[in-house]
Amino acid sequence: MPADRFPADEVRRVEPSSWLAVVRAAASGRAFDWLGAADEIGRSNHLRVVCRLRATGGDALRLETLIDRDDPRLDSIAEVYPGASWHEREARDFFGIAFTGGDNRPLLLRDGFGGRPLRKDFVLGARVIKAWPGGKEPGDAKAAGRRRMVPPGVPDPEVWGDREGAPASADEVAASVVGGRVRRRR
Amino acid sequence: MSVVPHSSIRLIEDSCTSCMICARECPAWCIAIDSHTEPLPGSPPGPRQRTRNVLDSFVLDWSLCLYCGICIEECPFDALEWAGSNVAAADVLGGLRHGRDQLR
Repeated sequence: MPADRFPADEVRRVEPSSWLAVVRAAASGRAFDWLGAADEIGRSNHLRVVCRLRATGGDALRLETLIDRDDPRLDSIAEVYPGASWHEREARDFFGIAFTGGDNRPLLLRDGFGGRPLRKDFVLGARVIKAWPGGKEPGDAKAAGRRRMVPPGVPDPEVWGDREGAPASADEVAASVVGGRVRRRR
Repeated sequence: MSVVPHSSIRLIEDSCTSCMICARECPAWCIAIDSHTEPLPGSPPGPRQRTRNVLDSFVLDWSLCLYCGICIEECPFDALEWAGSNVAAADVLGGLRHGRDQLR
């Protein structure tokens, strides 16, 4: 398929305070495509919210904003695009973003679910307990040889689990859940 | 170029080196591999003896598989590939755990 069938989106950085105003100004002649979020931890203490709008002609505009990870709130754009409400509820579930003036009911997670599963410091608890088929070394009959492997989503036990004293920072947990070899416990 | 439907995944045993990369990359944890090492013929015994991995079992649990194809992408030896045959239904959950004979 030729590359020019999918031209690159025009990307515009937006201040969180002017999010709703920018979306409203861009709305004329453009349809809502999707809205999502990403955890920027490791680069900065922010959550990135991305909104993609598409003109009827086909060219797309991507609006991006960075909001504080510890106090994530942003104006809802549901009054401009009612369909965006669904995406905002999903971002609220998975990243804990409060959308001011929007619908903040849980969408995919049960009410009271304790955690923000798409934040990078979210530990996949079930994976800590269950035996990982990838933990074995090639040629080894059983797991946990000299070099220990942890699966993605499970932090180094030194960071989470066996750690004594103050819990690890979100930064440290997020850097640790990428999987791979961990230091042998002394 | 003919397109193979992503109906199931085939294991080409002769290419597999039991390197565990597919089992580690699988987001659904559906691949389990057992292997052991054997000395290479002609390699003298001792600390420098050269060995190779021998595949004992390769089990793909279709009840967990996402059909994402990451294992196929990641396999450095092209020992996994898409196949056009659908995975047959099973009477019990364990019947969806296919071993080497069924993944051929």
